[in-house]
Amino acid sequence: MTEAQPDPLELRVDPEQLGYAQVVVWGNGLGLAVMLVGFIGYLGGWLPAGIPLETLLEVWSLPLPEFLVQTQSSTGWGWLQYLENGDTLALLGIALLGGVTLAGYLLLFVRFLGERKWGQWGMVVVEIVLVVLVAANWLGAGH
Amino acid sequence: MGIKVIANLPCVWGVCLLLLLPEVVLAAESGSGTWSAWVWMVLLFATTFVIGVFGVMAGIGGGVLFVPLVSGFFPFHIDFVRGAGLFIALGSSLAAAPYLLRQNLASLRLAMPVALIASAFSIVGAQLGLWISALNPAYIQGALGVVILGIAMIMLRTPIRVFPVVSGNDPVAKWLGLQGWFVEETTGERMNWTVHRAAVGLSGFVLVGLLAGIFGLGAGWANVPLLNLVMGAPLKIAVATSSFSLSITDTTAAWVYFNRGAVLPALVVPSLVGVMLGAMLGSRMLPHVPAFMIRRLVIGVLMLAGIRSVLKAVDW
Repeated sequence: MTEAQPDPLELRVDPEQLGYAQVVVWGNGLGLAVMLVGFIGYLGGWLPAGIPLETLLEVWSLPLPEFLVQTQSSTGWGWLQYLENGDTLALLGIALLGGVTLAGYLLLFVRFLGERKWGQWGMVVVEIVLVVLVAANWLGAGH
Repeated sequence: MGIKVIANLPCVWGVCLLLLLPEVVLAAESGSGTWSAWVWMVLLFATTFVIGVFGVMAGIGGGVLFVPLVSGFFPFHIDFVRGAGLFIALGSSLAAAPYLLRQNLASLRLAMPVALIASAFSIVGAQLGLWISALNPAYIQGALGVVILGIAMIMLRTPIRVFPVVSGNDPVAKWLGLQGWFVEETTGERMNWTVHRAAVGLSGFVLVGLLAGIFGLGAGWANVPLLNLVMGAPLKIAVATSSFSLSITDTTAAWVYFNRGAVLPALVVPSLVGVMLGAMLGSRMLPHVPAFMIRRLVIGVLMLAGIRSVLKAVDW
């Protein structure tokens, strides 16, 4: 099960794994930066608020359907038209975090296709389809 | 000396938090709207910081502690707490992934089928959870309490195997290429690994995905026993691959909550920052604290949180 003193050349991590790690570094950094800028702007009052703090206190304990009615919040991707608001900008950062897996899998799609690793490529395709469908609100939508 | 002081800080903060909780809640409930919202967010940040520290030291991540504690003791509706819980698990996993992948501790090959199954069923779980919650949030709150108590029992009773003996001729594992290597830091040796009982193990992730989606929990508590005890992956590979795969598993369920409007930045941002900072401190403290005691402490907190969830569900 073990081999003493391995050849350093044998200790190379799969390139697709290293590529995926780099995509995560960039995507996570970008998402966190946008999220923090938006939220600090929202808390500090430097950016307009979609849902002001004093209103938020009254609605964050409400059931979701009631919350959506009271705050006139939109579901799906409707929030994109309010990006001037600090809290909406923070939501964009959170969405970017939710998109990191998709970015990493797009890299794997290309790599595995090039290397003709059909088993792994098939799993990547199914995962991409699932994430795209659910992120686009075509799968999992409901009211 | 210095590290001992730092190591005791989260315990001190945790006790202070408990002692100050009634005063803070009173201030939050009696203050003006903006002031009260600030107080709740600061309290949320402090709580998630402590969760981050202990989550890492107990090896379970933050999500499984976050949802029962915050839904049990904070005024937020459980739908928002579950949405935040998924993004906290996702964010924590993304923060840890680059190091684990580069060190070859997390295996992309092993994570891909695991995450594919769990993420597909987490969509179903998220739909189911939001549907049940719309009927009556108490159903979800009560079921969450029961599940958390079950998780605490699993953690209490499940043994772990550092390097399980694996037969090495599992056809599914061979077809999927579920094998790899890592360097054991203590000896500097290259350790090759593979898995067995892949079909049985992978089918277990159906349930993991469903529970993650329904309750907004990260699934480290279930991933590690399945990968280590059922499939025979070495403990280091199981823990690291579980930590990494959460970023894929929770993505789909997180998008369901996001698109339904159940993700509030005011909950997600302080919690995510708190858990991440806490996890950074926790990982540095890890070599200096008795992990066994921390694990027992976390099991105790999980039991309390589970009982609190059940009691809240019956409005007691």
